[in-house]
Amino acid sequence: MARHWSLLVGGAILLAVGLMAASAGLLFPEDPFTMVDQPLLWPGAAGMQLGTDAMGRDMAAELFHGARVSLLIGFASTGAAVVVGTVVGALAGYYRGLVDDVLMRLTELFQTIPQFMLAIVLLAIVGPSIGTIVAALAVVSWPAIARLVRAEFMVISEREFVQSCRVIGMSDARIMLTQILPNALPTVIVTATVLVATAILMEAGLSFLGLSDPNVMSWGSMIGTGKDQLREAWYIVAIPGIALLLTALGLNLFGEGLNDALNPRLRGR
Amino acid sequence: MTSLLEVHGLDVALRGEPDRRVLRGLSFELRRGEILALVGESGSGKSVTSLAITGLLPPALAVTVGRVVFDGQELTGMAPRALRGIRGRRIGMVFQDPMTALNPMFTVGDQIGEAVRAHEPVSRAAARARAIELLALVRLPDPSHLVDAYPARLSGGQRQRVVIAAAIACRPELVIADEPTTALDPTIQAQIMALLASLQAELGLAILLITHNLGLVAQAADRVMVMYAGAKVEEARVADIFAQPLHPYTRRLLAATPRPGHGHPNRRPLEEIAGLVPSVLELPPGCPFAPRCDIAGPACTQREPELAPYPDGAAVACFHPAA
Amino acid sequence: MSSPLLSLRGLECTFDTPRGLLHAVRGVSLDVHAGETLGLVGESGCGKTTLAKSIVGLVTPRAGSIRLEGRELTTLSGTERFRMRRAVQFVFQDPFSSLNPRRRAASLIAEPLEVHRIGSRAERRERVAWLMEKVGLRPEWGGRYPHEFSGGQRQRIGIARALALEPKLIVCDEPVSALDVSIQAQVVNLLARLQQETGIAYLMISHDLALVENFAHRIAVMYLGEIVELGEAGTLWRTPLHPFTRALIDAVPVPDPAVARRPLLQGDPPSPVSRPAGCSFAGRCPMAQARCQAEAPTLRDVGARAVACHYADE
Repeated sequence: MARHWSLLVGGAILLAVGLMAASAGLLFPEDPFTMVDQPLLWPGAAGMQLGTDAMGRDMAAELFHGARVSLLIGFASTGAAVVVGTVVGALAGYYRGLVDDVLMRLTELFQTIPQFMLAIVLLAIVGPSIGTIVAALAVVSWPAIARLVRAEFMVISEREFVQSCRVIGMSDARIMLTQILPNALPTVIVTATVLVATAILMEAGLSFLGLSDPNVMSWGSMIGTGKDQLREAWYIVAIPGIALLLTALGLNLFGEGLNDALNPRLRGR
Repeated sequence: MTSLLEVHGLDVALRGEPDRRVLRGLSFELRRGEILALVGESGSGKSVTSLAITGLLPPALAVTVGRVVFDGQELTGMAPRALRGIRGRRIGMVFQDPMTALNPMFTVGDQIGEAVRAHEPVSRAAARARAIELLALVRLPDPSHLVDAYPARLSGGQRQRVVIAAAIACRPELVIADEPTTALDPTIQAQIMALLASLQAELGLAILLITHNLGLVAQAADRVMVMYAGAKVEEARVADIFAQPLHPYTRRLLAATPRPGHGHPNRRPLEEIAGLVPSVLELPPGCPFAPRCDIAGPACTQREPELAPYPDGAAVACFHPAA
Repeated sequence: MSSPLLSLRGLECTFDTPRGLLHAVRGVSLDVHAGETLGLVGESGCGKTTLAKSIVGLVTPRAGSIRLEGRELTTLSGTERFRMRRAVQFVFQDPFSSLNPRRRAASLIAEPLEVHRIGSRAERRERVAWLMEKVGLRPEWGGRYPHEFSGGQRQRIGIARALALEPKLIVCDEPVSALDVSIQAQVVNLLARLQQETGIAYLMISHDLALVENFAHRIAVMYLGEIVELGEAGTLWRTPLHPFTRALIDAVPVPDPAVARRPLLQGDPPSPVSRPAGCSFAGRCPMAQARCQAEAPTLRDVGARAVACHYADE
């Protein structure tokens, strides 16, 4: 039990955040943008557990609805990055040679531009919405996955059981999908959980800069609108800030726990 | 010859679970200048023995019962610091894989020099000079240039010679060689064994040679100990054990070694030992070899035989020894 | 003499390394006949594994021909190559890494049949059970994963997998060297029994000369990418012609303390990157003379055997 504590603690945090997101519609059926009370009420005052922000909106409602958006953007962008990165990395790592050279130059192209800057530029060009934000974050995250998958494919394709499949005449596609990928997946999954955390934090940073979907409430946009009240009503920034911190921590712990659980068993023999 | 190393009733088990033993009641004696071979297959406990003697057991294992005495000093229970003073200086170690035994980031000379400076207060220059001497002692060519080479430039056999040089750097009295030639080509194996034999003669070393290769034992060792499932099953002088093995396992192991002259066209199949090498943590009651033994009787599955002494320091643990 | 099952002529395999072009296999010509076992021995780096891999297509030769049952393998199209796979299979050295750890034993043995679309599902299941019994494994164990088997049992799974397509030739790369001695005998005897029952041929690569002498009909000795001696196993052992063969025989540890140690071969296996002029063995050869440094010997026939040495007859 104690050995898997990071998995448990991380999992518990994620579960809590997940529940927040899932129950947002039930607990706070109204649009979080609606004004419900006086602005700048401190948490606990007048029945508002988490207070209200500068526009008089319910902080609790914003927090719960924001959880949805943050998780959605985090998982969707990472999901897309994993798909693209895996395809690129797999082809590069398996075929090597010219294919590897071309794909790696492409990957490096994306990697040399600082992630955050690239995201800002992309969103400035196309305008921020949930869709474009997911796409932009996917674009900046896929190279890391590609590198990882490439390394795994390079190593695993040299293993004798893969050579054995070549000898029996298995096609390359089948080898990559059924032999190598399942063995490479644990490493990818672990990295992906951490990538989700990064994506969520990047979204928050983009929102802070005003590059968030104006129709949707996210933790980052909460911080963005709250930054002007930092002196008097710092809770407006602190509450979503703590939520981000805990979510990122939860994801990192979970990823670490997954790593411990999945990898030693496979590398053991 | 006086006794240099004594092991009395040594048990090694999983940490925290003293009933799950991987080494069961091992006792033996190694005299000064003697070469004792420890022969066994996987799960026999031979590698665990060498690690237990030098205090290098992995965290998952621990010595639960028994004593190891080196030159009158008890090693079991010794403080790690004191043990470090003995390990490397008075007991040298040679491990199996020469490809990973050396650090690729440091030169050969640095690594041998480190072995010296860990135990003796000498300057870098003096350590380097000593390294060159040692490289010559292990018959490596051009020692004064080789001392500055990195391990990647050396072949497996050459690296193993460097490992041996580091092991004897402080003129130890005992060298423990755990499968020193398994990863090498047969032609190189023969060279390394010859080197160990000549070093033993030149420096008066005692060698504990751990191996699964009976052929190596015949050429190099004075006495042999055969281990099976974590315990000693036979011990004898080399000449005696090959001429007349007493334990059925020893006999079958010798028979399973391919002997030329029985190939096609009238091929004689190799002698098999039926069944699998047992897992030492899941032994059936009675003699651990009984399930695979061709002469097992009813007593063999009920009690485990104890080591019975024989002339000339021999011993066998069997209810039906060949004598 | 009927035509050989496998015929290599002038095979050359090279690799690009940072230190230059590595000639792993230099102009090797060999035959393997149906139903026979040809042993291939040599030191590490001599090219025996590369040669083995080139026969099954894991390495592409730079030059030379590989003929199986008369058909040239090096120039086959993709589909033809795919079909030819059924005739030659491979058994790997390491029983721990040659099986996919995430697949069950039965699935691993059935895989070749699935890839070549042989039989229905039910027929495949039957064949897998039959194969498992043939190699001495209980069919009920088909649902277990590789890590649940011992080394010897895993090697049997590998052999069953190689047999699935009913090949004419199996190339075995050190099939027993990673196993305990008491298990080696079991697996070698199994291979011999299968050969008697099915007439399959083996190209067996090993560094254990004593084992090869027991198991193989003929032995080829390789040094630095070339065959230096070839002959019937027993004869080669009793009267080796090439000094390297003699050295290999001398190096075999004999479990008999009464046998005196013969003089040892000095030096290390040479690097396949920088090849000396003349005979590649001259540097370590106890009988080397001036001619050896200058002129490389070619493999010539001496009765039913072949040797590449200027002074083999002496």
